[in-house]
Amino acid sequence: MQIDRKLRPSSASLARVARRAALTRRAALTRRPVLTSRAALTALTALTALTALTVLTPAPALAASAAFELPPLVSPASTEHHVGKLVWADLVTTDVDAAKTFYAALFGWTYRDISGQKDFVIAFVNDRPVAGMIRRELPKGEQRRPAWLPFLAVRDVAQAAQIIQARGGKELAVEHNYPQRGRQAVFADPQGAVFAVLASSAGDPPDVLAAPGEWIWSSLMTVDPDTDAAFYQRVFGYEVYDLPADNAPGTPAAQHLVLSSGEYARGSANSFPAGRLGHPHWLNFVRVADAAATAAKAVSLGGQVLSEPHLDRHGGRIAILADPAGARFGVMEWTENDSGEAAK
Amino acid sequence: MSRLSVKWAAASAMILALCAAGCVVPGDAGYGDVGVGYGVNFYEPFDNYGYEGPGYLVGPPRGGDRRLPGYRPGAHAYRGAPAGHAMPSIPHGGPRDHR
Repeated sequence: MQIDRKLRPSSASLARVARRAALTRRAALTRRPVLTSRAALTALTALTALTALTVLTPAPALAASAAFELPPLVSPASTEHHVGKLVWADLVTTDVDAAKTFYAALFGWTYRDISGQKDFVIAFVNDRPVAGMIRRELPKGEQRRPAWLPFLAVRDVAQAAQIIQARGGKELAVEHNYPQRGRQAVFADPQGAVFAVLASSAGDPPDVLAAPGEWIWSSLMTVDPDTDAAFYQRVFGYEVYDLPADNAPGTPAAQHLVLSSGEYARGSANSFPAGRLGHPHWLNFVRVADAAATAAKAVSLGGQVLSEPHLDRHGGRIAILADPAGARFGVMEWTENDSGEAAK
Repeated sequence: MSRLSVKWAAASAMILALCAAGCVVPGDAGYGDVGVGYGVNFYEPFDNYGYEGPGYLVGPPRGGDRRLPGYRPGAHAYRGAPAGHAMPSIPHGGPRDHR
């Protein structure tokens, strides 16, 4: 019994036990939020990682996952590459619908929408994609007008960008990769003419005479063709041929340089006529069957004739036009007989 | 894990989320909506140059043209094509339709 008495807890020890139990319960109660906060932290860590991944993921990768897809330049894909060739052009304009109507009537272009892009369409000739049309707002407070942006073929956009910037050019839009299309970037040359380069992942269009409605030629109007030709020669590896000046007697000699690659002329670099300086720019030409009829039709559609149809030095008849929004482009008649090489 | 740490983690996550919202353009595919950095400055500066006049002769050569007799590449910024090279023309022929 004494033993029982010894084992019987005293009221003081019972109180101690009760206090311990209370402390344990309190600890348990305080631990529960800690566990909850660990779960929350895990979720937050995952969110943080996801957010960081989103930030660090390059734009091209995001682009690749989007529905946006440009058609391949060539279908089926080929292994042909023609560095320095005009392979594409984009029209940046305020009214894509008006542009579609104008160019469809003028060249017979047809259009397909780009998925998920209400302000961007692709123009086709004979089921071949030839141009993009993009709606953008005009910069406020600046006197600017819509324009066609030429895309010249390269094999390596990064390498081209490096040369362009090392030689005084400026990168206006960093290189991007587009599914099916390839990699491209937009630049201004040292004198301010804007152009783009494109490394097509499906190859470049073959070196054959452009069909009516397709781009056939591009000419650079610039203040200093000599140094500009050197710039483009470094970028595209052009051979440069100088043509005799056709200036009128008593006027400063205009300079006309032909830029060629792969044994074909790709474009020309030309000085502005004396006393009529503009801002340096590329002007792109579409092949037409009849330059005069095309010019007349352009006017009837609300466009303008900037240079009346006339014979160029080597026989091709050209005219310079502007669409109703003011974007400038050229049209050129050219037959197999106009290519001296064809007669060989 | 203290409540303070939880608050810091939440705050950092919020900051990163805000950064992401600021850096990534929704729906962008490079051309953006339409055009991240694309064509922002591409609208041409307006000028009065109108291509008028007889000096606008910028088309391609017919090809096979030889240089003028006695032609020698002058001193230029560019490297002139060798004098013996005939001037090329644009591509011709081929399988395309509508010749």
